[in-house]
Amino acid sequence: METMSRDVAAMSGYGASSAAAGPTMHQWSPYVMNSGTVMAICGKDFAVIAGDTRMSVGYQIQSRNVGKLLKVTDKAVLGTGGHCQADTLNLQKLLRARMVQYEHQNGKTPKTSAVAQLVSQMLYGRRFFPLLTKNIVAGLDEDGVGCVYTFDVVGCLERVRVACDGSAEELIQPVLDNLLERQHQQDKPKPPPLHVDLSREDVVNIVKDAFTSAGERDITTGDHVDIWVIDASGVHQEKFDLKYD
Amino acid sequence: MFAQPADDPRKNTLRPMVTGTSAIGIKYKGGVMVATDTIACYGNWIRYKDVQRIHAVSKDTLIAMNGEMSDYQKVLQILEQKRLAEYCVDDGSTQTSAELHSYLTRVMYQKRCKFDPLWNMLLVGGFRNGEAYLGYTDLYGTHFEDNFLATGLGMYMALPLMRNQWTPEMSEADARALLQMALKICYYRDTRASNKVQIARVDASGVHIDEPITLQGEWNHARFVEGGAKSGDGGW
Amino acid sequence: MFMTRSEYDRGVNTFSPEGRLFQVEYAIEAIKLGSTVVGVRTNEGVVLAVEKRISSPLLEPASVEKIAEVDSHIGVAMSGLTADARTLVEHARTEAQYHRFAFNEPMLAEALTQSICDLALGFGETDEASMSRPFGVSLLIAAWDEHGPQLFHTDPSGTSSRYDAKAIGSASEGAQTALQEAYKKDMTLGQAEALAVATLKQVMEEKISDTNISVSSVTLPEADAPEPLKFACHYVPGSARQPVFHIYTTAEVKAIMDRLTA
Repeated sequence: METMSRDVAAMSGYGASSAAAGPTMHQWSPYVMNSGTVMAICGKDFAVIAGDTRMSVGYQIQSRNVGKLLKVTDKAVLGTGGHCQADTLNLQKLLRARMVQYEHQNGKTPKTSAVAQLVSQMLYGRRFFPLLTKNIVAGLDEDGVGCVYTFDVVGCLERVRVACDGSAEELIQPVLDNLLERQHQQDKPKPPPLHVDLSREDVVNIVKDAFTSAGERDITTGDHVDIWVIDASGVHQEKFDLKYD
Repeated sequence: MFAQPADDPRKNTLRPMVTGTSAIGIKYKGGVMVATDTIACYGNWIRYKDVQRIHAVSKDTLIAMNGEMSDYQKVLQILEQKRLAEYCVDDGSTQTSAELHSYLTRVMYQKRCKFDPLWNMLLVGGFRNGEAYLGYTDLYGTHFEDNFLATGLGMYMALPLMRNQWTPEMSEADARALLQMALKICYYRDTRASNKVQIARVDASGVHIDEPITLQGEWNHARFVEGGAKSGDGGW
Repeated sequence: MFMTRSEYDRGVNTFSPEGRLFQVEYAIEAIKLGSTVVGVRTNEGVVLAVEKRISSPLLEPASVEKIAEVDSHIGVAMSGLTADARTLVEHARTEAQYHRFAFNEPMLAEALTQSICDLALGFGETDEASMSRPFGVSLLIAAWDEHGPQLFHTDPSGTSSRYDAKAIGSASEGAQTALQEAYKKDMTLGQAEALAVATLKQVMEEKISDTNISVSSVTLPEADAPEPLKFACHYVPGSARQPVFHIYTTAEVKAIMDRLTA
């Protein structure tokens, strides 16, 4: 009961007064976890990125309709899960400004690899006061092949075929590994180096299944899922309903 | 108590002292309405019994506060400076509620990044060109919009009520009734809430901040009177 | 020629009543004292050739550096006050590396040229770092980026233009005429090398040799057969074929001259 009242006090913005034994140190954390999940999978000529729209604090749903995806260019989308929404917003605003600047200076839209590199540098720029954001960039590379980049909170960057970040990472990633990566299954064919070997419809269905499954166990993933498919003709946005508890 | 040895590191205010409790707001057909009570507490003590926690910050935008009162006054000063600067430009344009909300969020985020937060959760309500606006920001710089919002303990008690009852077609009277019910529920359960409440709205005719009213609690419900003893768990 | 200008040619920030900035015009005049530089663009690459003035038989010719690499795909040749060019080249190198750092890709030639011009135009500003006078140097920039081979020219006014072939420096008028007559859109790189060196030979006061000129080019060599890609994380964007800027050795310069006389 004491724990709960302290949580409530902290969440409601009051100072917590603890009756626990021993000295109490009052130190303010600048982070608040608004959680949620994003995932991305890339195919031969498309990429799919998805993020749920629930925003929560502790056990409280603050909003059912705060998206986690940002269209950066016609060929690149940034998704942020497991995050402090204030930091996400900051990253998105700065990134949008840098993209406009890039277009003015270079007379072209940045490639997805350039977007990913810039995101990495922006994250590392806050190495000693990290943005609490778990990011994925998905899109098409300069050859029109689907690509997915993952980052850690301080900007370590890697190109992958599938990625999942945020509160349901542990629930979804093994499923993706099993269905798409198959790196430890001796009798199964490995996917090509740059992308998975499934059709767009199959990938979208896996995304829907993954989020529905995550929603069964992860309380901070829910409400709706934004599923965006990036192909040569642009970013196609779709909404998929999730648990509404 | 307040004297700090000279060789101590600088300490920012990292917990609120004098606080206002829940602020709630909803959009309705033709406007946006927000409500708070009118007390400010120092711990469990009602330090100020008649404070205003909703203010107009432009001709069609108002904010409602939760959290530290002094920080809220700082927020009002910052927004007043912004308003004055804009007034001096005298070009006939005024910032929209969305722009003020965005600006306020940048201020809140900058302060949190300095580990010196403005300890508030704020609602920004506005109405212009037939569009209602309702946004939220807080001491972390969180930022989002919704059709109905609540801060503090109101998140736990008022928000579920509004989720059940809110519709985009609500009239002003419906909105007022819903907010009054939500405030009453908060008053029943939030020890730092008062039944003297203030409701304000923005509609096509501008900002209207009503005089405070006193809600009548129904304290003679059977369960209230008999207490929780009979239900076996001590609560009701 | 300059007699009537004495009132308005002192400050770099002062226009004359006719709307001219004399200090900038004087700086452009300084280029006409510089050694001749020739640039030729073809579909196979861009060639830069410069005249080195060997003022003394005791001067070590290799120490006269008038061509500089900015990045692996961009090089510049300079004429005028070449010391001023060091500042511009250093700035350009920093910008090119910053672009790779921030975006993991080579910088576009036009963007790089623009950044050089931004600095060139920054003279007379109040901050400590900026030049008090215009840069007395003109650059030919040879580059190969995703838009293919390109040749840019910048001058002290911060103006830049793109050329098929361009000559700057003391003999630029004669050299430009020669280029205009001989340039063809479908030249090979070898023909461009020959044209650049022949043009220098034609306009240089001293007898041309393999030590008193310097030649460079940017080309797109065939790539080695790529290693088969196993993992997405090993993928490097744009790694298939990479342009190379190269300053010719004395032997390579000699080979071009031998072709001319053959």
